[in-house]
Amino acid sequence: MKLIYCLLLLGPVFYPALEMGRYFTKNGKISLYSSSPLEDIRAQNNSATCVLDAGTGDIQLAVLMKGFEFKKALMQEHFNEDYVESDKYPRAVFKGKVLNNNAIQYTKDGVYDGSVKGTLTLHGETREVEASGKIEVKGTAIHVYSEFMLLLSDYRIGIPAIARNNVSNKIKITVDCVLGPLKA
Amino acid sequence: MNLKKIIGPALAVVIVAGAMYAYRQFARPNESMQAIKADADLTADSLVREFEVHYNAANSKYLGKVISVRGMITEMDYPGAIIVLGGPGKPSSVRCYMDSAELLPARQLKQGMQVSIKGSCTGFNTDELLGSDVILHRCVVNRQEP
Repeated sequence: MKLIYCLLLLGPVFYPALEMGRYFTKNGKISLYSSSPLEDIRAQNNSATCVLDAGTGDIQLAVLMKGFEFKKALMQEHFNEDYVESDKYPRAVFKGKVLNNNAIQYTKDGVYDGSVKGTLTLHGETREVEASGKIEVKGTAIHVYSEFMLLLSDYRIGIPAIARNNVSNKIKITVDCVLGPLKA
Repeated sequence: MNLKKIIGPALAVVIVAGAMYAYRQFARPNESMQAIKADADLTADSLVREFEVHYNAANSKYLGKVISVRGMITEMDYPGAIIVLGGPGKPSSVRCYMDSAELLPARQLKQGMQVSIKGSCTGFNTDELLGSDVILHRCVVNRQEP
């Protein structure tokens, strides 16, 4: 009988942990933006996969480089052939952890500040990345949003001499993913 | 003297034509998917199988190419925007991200229909939790099969 009382009392304490499962999307949006004197460079990819384990804070994002769409065909061709060499390196993958995972109540609606640290593999190079952003919980959906900068030179992505004055080494990456529960 | 008179204007014409060509190349939008002839035409199942069994060979064969894929619609996300082709209950599929100009015709489609969709292959996404998907972008509906 004492055991049943204990379980009933502890139930609400452990309930959120039991609820915290994995969340995912296959339609995550990743955009890139770079300002240049000639013209701003923008592209979006809306087929990124993202899996978040709310219990551990593990997060993984994967994106196919050829899925970045530019308004101008020439820009898209240069991006794939001369910069990221997407035939040779078709995917970019981020694997990391939500650093303040304990502060995020995945079972309670709200907007939480989040910071993520992990490794980003792009163009065959792996570098440590840390970014901050927002995690919004709304019902069973989790909206993950973050912006961070990366340097092309960190990933051995060279800028051809002819474009050096027009393409910045600094690129802004925006991650915008709405995740739903992953059923086992 | 006469030669100088000819060279000047000819050079100007060449420079202007060159500049126009360069600008047209620079501002060229992506070609309409409806106008592009597919490099390959196959079923969703066989495309997925090729990537699963011979990943590198399939990448060289299909990456960046326009392909037509036939199969059954198993899922539709954001009505008309994403059409998933495959077998019922199979973890692997072909995910077709529709061209924004194609949203209206795509919205007429329903789950369970057999369709043929043309798009640019951007690769194979594989994940132990989420399964494996061949991804097609800028997709258009080819025709509705009976």
